[in-house]
Amino acid sequence: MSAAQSLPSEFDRGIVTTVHQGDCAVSGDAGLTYSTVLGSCISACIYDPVARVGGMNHFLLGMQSGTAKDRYGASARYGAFAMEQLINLVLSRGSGRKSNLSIKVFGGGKISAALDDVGAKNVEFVREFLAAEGYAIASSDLGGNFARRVLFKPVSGKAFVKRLDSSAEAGVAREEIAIVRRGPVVAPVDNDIELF
Amino acid sequence: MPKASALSVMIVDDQQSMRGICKYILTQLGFKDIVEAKSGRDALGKLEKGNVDLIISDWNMDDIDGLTLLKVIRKHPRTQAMPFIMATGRSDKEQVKEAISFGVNNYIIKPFDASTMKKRIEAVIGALT
Repeated sequence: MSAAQSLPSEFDRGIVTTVHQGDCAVSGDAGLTYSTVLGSCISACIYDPVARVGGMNHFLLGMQSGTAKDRYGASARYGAFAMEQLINLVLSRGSGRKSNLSIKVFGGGKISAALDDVGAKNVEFVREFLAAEGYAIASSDLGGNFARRVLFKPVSGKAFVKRLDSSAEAGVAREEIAIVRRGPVVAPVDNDIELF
Repeated sequence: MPKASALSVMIVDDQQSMRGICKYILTQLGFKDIVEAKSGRDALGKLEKGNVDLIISDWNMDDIDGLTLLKVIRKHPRTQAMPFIMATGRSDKEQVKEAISFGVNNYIIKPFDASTMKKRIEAVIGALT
């Protein structure tokens, strides 16, 4: 069964843009839907209802440097930057007021024994991050023993989550195991402005 | 050569986690006197009480953003020569150019690690011991 078959009638997908691990996308385009598939990964969907602008990120913390309690290790730093990047992009494209932001979070499932409790640590990280920054979670679908597809309309803030079957999970698990082993994808830093 | 443990650094960021990350890295580099400011306004209030040897400021903040903070610091005779590093996202190239035009000493693109932070600081104040 495809995600589209379960979508509510008012959820017009329009143009679908996939948000891959490491991506962060923000838009106010009414004809756009962000889509992502999550196993252990986390996606935050942040919406500014005043400006009708929203965005989605997608990150996976391999926790190479310790647990989520190790808040400033390399892995947690990567997650914090991923969250900050999305928050700042929505603020800059939106009303600029943090109090207007509505935050939904998804993912952190346990889909493979090889990934151990990476999903749970990712869930712990995002909950701790948002609590520390003073943000409430408007809604969430976290944890569990399954992968998810998340669709998010940036102009309305509506999200649709579909739990995937085991055949789809196998592919997601393979990708995530590879990411955990090599570390998260971070786009090369564009350092072409030289000062000194 | 400046001794990191003898220098005072101010971190300006409205996100607690970012201040924590920055402080963690600066501590790794040997800095001990680290002042945290929760906003541009908080930074200016703390600078009224005394100078610091280096400011590392985020760009995006709710009240006074990093660029406005830089402009105010560069206008005030007591603080105009204060070393200032701007932390910014990788998509903010135009912001970096604007900050350069207003006298930022250097910039650091997030996400950064201790090695990058050290290089940026040393480019501004000299090799650390």
